[in-house]
Amino acid sequence: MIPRLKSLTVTDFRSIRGTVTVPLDSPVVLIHGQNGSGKTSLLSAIELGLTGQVASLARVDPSFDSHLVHKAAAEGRVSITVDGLTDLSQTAEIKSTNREFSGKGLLSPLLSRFYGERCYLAQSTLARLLEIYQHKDARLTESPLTKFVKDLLGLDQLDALVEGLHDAGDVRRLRTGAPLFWDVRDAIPKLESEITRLTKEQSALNTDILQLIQSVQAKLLVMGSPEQTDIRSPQALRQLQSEASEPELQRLAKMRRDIGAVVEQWSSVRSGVTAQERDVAEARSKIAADSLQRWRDGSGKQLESVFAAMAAYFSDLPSPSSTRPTHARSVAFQTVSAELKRCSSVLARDVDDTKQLAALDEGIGKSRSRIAVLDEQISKHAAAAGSLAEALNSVLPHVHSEECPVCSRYFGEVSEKPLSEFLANQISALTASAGRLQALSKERVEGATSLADAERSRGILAGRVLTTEARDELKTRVARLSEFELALQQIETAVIEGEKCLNDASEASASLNALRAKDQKATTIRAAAQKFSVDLSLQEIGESEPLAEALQRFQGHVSKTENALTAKESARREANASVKQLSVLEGQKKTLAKAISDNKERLSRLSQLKLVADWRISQAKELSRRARDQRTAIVRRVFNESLNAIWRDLFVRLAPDEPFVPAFALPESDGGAVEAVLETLYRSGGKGGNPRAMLSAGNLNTAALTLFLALHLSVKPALPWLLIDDPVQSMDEVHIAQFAALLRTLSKQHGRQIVVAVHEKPLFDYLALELSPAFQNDRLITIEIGRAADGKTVINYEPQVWVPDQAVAA
Amino acid sequence: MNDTTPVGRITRLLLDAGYRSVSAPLVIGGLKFDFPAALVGAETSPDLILIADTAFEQEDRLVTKLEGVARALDVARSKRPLTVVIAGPRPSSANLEAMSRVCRVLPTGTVLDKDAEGSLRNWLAVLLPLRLPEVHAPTANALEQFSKLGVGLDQEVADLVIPAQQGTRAVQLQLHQIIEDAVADAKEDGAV
Repeated sequence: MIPRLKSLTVTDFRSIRGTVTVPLDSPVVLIHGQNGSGKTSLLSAIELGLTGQVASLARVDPSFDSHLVHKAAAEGRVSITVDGLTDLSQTAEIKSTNREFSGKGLLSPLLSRFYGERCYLAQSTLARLLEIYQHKDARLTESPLTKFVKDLLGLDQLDALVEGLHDAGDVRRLRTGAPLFWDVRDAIPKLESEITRLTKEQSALNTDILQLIQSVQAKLLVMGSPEQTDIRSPQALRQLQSEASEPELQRLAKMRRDIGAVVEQWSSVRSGVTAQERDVAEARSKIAADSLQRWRDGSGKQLESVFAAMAAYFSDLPSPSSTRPTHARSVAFQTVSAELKRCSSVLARDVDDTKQLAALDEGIGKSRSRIAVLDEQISKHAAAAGSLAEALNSVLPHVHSEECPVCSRYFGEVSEKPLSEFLANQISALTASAGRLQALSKERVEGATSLADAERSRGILAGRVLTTEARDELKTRVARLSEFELALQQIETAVIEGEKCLNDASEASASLNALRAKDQKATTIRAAAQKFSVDLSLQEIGESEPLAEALQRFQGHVSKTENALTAKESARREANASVKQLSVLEGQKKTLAKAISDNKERLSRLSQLKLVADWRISQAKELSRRARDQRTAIVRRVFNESLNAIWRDLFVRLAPDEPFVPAFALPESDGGAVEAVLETLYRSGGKGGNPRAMLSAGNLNTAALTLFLALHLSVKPALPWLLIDDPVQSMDEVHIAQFAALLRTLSKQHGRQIVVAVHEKPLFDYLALELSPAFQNDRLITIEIGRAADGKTVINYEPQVWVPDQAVAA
Repeated sequence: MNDTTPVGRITRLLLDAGYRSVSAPLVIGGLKFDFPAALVGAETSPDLILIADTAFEQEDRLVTKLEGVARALDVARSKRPLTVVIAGPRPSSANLEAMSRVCRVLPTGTVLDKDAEGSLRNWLAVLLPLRLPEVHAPTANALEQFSKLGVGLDQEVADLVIPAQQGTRAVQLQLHQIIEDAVADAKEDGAV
């Protein structure tokens, strides 16, 4: 079933006031109205109802939304009914809320786009159509023209192929898509560099091995093998393993140590001991012993006797015979002096104490007599004078006359003085007496305290004073000690001399002993040295040969032999180490060779794989190129054969005498997006310029109009509708007549439902005539839009049906 | 009629386009009108087409005659759109204007172009049926060519046209796949 617009109901939309219902169920609908009567509003309402928006206004004024509701109305409403659309509802209603229309149109988004671009030609669009389709910016790939081309050609598959093969154009794009390929591609240079590195390593290793072999040969040479010995020969190996020289080396080392020890010993006794030296020492020793004995008999005895006397007083003194005499003397002297000092000081203090005791006794006597005087004075004062004075003082305020408040007797009888005065005098006397009494009492207490102090001091002193016996004994001791001190002082020189004798004697005896020991050692050493010559199979030590020289001779021989052996041994050890290292390196060399061959093998395998992949990529590139070429070819062909052909046809119909025809020209481009520019072609061949430069205003308008129709006609009509808003504004009458014929052709021949709004009455009439029904079931609806007196929009609707023509006999 | 005359050529073209000749003279509502040729359209186009030759006829008389036809059609309440095709010299602007008030005027003029036939067709185009391009044809053709894109290439690469139906992504994946397949052996021995 062919989709057809059925009816439209509009309430307060744009310039339409009130509610109008417009029937549209006819192949042709002609709308006429004065300017401002609401023709365009009707067409906008249809657009709104179908697509949910008014794209034709949005192109002109982005803020059109806020002006859609009639300015005198609160809210508006648009509802449209369509027939024959499968999968879509027949009616859609869009209401305004808050003076803004929002809602879903009747058509799907795809159909909405088709409607907006291919069915509805708004006045604003017509003026700009060429501009819209003229491709200005080559970078905009999704231009309306490109979209059109895709719609037209169904190039999706080609596009998908071209876009899908995009990655083949540059291997870097394959990094994520084809990671394995990328890895292989990556691995090849890595492998190559790895092989280079390994080869370098291998040659370095070869050099090392050669050097090692040479060094082993050099070592073998040292060990006594011939030059250029094969280091792998059994002879060489045996030599390398032999450890024969080891015990000999050990023996030599021991020998060297022994000789060293002998030399050492010999050097300590080297001076030797002559008989003369021994005699001198013995003589010296004898003299020293004699003088010591003499001293012991003389001064020594004296000293002993002093010490013996002192032993009665000091039991722990050192003995002068067992210790050194000076030490014994000085210790005794110090002890005696200290004791003497102590005794003297005890005696001196005792004298002092005796004196002090006498002074204290005198002071105590005085204190006692003073206390007695104080006691006497205190007794003179009444004990309670103070409290009595206070009592009288409290009575005093009660004395108002001479009458005594205590006894109520008249005071005048006793004295001439008034009672109050008497009382006051009495009180003051009592108070003074009390003050004195207090002072006296304090004085007495102090006196008693100082007396007690003095008595305590005296007690201490009295206890400390020596008894007469003790004092006498102490005095005797002092005298005895003074004697000792003097004796010790006198004996000092003799003691020093004795000390010297002692030292001399012991020194002489010690040197004599040392000489005797040395003499014996030298004999032993010579015997030992003689043994070395046997062990080393060398010439014996001659009688005239000094021992030191002989030892040196032995030492030289030992170290020479030892050096030779050590050199051989170390050469053997180093050679062994080298041989070991050599075998390690040989192993490495083998591993390396295998790694190189493995890597080479991998490299060749990967290279082969990559070759295949590269081949595929290049083929994919080729495919992509072909697809692009084909796309370009198709586009070019379709442009030339379809779009340009029909545009030309349509344009010629409307402007038969215009020598220039507008067309899309496809510039040559290297594949990629299709770019088309507008140009004109001279009818009889040759190119003109841009249509806007070449065509008159009327013909430019015609060009735009026919472009729109060509775009509509060159695709499969998803919606076979053409809604055209006042298309003839700058067309002359010739064009109008042609246009009417064209509309008729589209309607009657090609089944397009046509809605045309015009404002010129004659044109309207002419179109009504030209588009009048031509066959059974053909219909025409004419609609006149006007306004009632109250400003409400009024629709005058006139359907016309077919009447067979009788005027001209066919 | 002779096709060598302009009127003959025009008539021939229109007859080929499906119009039918009206027997001369043309009679409308009992009135006779003398025209070199007159045609009416078939069902979908009720046009009445008159052919005149200003080489033989005065423009003024032609105008009067056309006004007469128009008037007669009006009287007969006919709604046939009236078209006059003028062969011969182009009438003056005033007369053309007068004529176009009552009918569609196609002044083919004296054809001077090399392509006389083409020029005439242009003038008459509006009366001729509109041939729309076959919208499916290029696409069908393209599909056929599309499947041949891979000719001469390896099978794996040529087969890339197959996933194109599922879109760009499918092609891309397939492309990646065949590239990966080419190097798949590298993975097996863990060389990468």
